[in-house]
Amino acid sequence: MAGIAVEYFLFVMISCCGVLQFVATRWKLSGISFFNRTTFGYLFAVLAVGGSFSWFFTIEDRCVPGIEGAEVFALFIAGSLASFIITASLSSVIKRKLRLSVKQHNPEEDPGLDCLRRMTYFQALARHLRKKGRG
Amino acid sequence: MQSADKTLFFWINDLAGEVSIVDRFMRLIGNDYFILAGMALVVFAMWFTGRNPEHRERNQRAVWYALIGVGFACAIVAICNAFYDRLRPFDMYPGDVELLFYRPTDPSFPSNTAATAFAFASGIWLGNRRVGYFLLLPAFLVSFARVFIGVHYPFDVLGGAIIGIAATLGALLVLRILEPFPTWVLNGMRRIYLA
Repeated sequence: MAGIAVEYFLFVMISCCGVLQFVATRWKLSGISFFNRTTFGYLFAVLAVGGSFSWFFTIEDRCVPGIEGAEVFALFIAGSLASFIITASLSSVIKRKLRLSVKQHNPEEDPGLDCLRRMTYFQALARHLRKKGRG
Repeated sequence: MQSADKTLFFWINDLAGEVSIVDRFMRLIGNDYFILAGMALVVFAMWFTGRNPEHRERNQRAVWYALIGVGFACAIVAICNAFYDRLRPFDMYPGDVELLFYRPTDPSFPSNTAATAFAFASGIWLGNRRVGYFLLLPAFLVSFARVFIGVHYPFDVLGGAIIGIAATLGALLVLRILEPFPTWVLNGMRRIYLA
């Protein structure tokens, strides 16, 4: 039982990383994208989603009793959160150069996720905390 | 009604075991994870999707309807299971059913998988018609596959679908009653760049 739970968690996490790269590329959220070229973003998304589905559904027969509905839901939430943390961290390291545009950026213009078009997640968060500390 | 359900069940289930590749395809889409995980990934993507902040907010509210709808649907299915224990087709007609799946031990009616799939589809449909219609396809597919592989009667999945849609409408109603709380949560998430 623990085996399938770990496998499902990994499957969701990798798939969600792929989905995040797809949306980052499609909606130009450079701050959470790993790549500068759109082709690489889409390619990563296809490989991550396709690869994780192929892996999860071929390593073992999934038509056997496994995890229950509530556990599946909890594992999906945990996997998707983990994928966001990984994506935000990795893209913050890769896209350090975006800091140049942070100085010119007025966060009032881009509320919420739109801010990630110009800066990485942790840059945006640090800016928010600094602003809160001052005000 | 039960007779029509039985006739329809055998009409669909008799197609199983004829073509190996079709059986394998139905086992894949009818299992507990494949379609539901795929639909959940679309719902996850919807959270980050939008041409502008207004469009994205509509999508994010749709994600809430879908998630809360799934929660309500699962609760309704659990309540139904506590009061009505319908035998699975392979238990009711042993030897006559072409079973391509393991033997689930919970009651047959209503289908939890169909309820979840239709809650996802209808929840997203409330905020984004195009994606909602697109998600109806896998919802119908998984419902058909559950009958094909021999674990549900057609009326089980029909009942599940109705519960899923009704649960999502319930989620919409609850979120409207709870306003402005959902808007505060969304604004709070937007402040930390999560929405």
